[in-house]
Amino acid sequence: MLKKFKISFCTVCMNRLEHLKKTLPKNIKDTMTYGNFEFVVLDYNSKDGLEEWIMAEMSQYMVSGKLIYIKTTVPQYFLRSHSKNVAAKSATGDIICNVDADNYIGEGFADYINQEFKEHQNIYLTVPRNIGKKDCYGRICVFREDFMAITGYDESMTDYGFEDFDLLNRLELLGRKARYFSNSQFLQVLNHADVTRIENEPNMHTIDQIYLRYINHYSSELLYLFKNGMFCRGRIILNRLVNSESVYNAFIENRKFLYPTRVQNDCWVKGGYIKSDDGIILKTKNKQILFTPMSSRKIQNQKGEVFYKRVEKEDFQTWVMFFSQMSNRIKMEKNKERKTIRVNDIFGEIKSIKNRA
Amino acid sequence: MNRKVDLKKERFLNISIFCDYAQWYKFISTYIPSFLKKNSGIEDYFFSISKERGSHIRLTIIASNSQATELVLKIDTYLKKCISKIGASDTKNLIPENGIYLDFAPNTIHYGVYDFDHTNLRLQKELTTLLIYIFQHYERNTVSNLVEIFIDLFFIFYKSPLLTKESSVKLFEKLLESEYDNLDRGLLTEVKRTNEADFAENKENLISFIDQDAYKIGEMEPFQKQWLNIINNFKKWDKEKRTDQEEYLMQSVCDLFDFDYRITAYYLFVSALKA
Repeated sequence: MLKKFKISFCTVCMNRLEHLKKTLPKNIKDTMTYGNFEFVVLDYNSKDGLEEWIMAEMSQYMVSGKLIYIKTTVPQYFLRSHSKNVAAKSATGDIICNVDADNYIGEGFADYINQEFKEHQNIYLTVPRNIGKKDCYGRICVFREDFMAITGYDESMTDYGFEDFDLLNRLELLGRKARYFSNSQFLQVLNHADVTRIENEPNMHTIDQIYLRYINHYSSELLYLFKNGMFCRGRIILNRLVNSESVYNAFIENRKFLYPTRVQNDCWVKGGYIKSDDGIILKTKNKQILFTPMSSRKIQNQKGEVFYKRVEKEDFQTWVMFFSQMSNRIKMEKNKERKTIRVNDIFGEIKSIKNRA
Repeated sequence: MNRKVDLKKERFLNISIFCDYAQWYKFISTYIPSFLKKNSGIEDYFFSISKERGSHIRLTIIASNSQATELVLKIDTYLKKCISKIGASDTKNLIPENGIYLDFAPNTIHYGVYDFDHTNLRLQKELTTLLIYIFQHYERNTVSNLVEIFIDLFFIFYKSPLLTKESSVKLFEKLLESEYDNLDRGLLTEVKRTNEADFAENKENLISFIDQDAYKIGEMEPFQKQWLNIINNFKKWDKEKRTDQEEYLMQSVCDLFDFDYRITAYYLFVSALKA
């Protein structure tokens, strides 16, 4: 009988104990019969008692080598790509499978992975995009050597969104082909609010204010002011409606877009800003723009264009998430266009990592 | 029978006419039917109304592939003429409360803004006829009378052989609960308080309205007859054979009018039934 591949299921966590308490014990139990596996849990400076729980409840798996628990106390924020790379580099399996903390992998998943990689060459496993399982898009299984060859996830993508699609694109560039799995038994997840996806990420903590200027029925301008004195602004466009006044927009073939929205010219205009008695001054290389306050929730520029402050908590979070996703998508598209396979000079590096196994 | 749509031979042209709701009846009762009668290549058409991102009429035309471009160019010219006839619109603040983009400007025509749901074309067609009849009957007062119109529609449904008093109470309570589920706690308390006050104010009229006998066919208005026709047949048009057909019908007719006050209408009706 052919030897089974060793599979490393990697999960990264920053303050997701409530999820992990439910998923990790079940995931390990559901994999036991496979035998040749390990679960790697990276505790990315959690403050919610993850370490204590692991030590109290999961130590038998650590003793048996089925659970590798590693902890770092360095990161201030959750860096999505970096954390996944740290976990993957700590894995010892032939195949690395990323499992988000809210995912159940289901009984038989390890056997399924093994069989797929035995039967097909030069592949990776992923979830199809058209089955409405977006909480499982992070579930990617790849040979460890392929993961290393592409230098893992792009660590310039610090926040939420598209880092997994980017990884898949670069696996394709490496010559690997997708094999899809959509068996519902492997794709069960815990439901939770969107905000838990981003609450520990840098943008959530470093963006100070967000303003929106309404332009017309299909475009608006966003202005993000960061706590470190930098700003990003860009015009967002709803692709479907750009030509909605033309009769030709009635025909579906004239409104097919890869994404519903985009940032104009696929880039954010960046610069610095200062607050003065007169208001906010945005500074770029060539010019300065003064925004004067109209009220506590409105500012206007010299052209009289009004920018509305996003103050409601949920609305603010939505725009933070939008910024993260758009920024990563732009990077992903650039990697794709330039056919970049290796994106990081160094990756998955971190100081003060403690392996508690 | 539900007509079969051949997507290779036919095109769905989704047209949004943004104008003040006080002008809707002119488009729905007169302007658009007149165009549809006079032009060939139209296989079918459907209406609904909406306030999403500006008050507007949604007109979906199914056109033969070969004539679709010519037809949409013609209707564009025609609708622009109609818009100029109704005159300038009140300039409204187009900034949405929490939206991302400005609302559509009034008195403009847009294409491909929404996707038409063609899962139950026969029901959609019959509901379109209902909408036309209601606008023909109430004209410019349609929107301001929607709560009364809907209570009338509920009454006809309640008096039909499909429902008993008990099953009506159950149905409308279920509809009401599903609306309440969409509200946050603060708003829910406020809505319930308003509903109770509205009912207290209209209790006697509502109870005597509901206690009357079913309308006699000969005395019914065209829109009431059309609604009865829908009630009597909607189950056989539902190819998906839903388990919640009554709920689906009620939600479909509310959606047809983008009826904001459905929560009030459900409450008033079910409270009068239970009183």
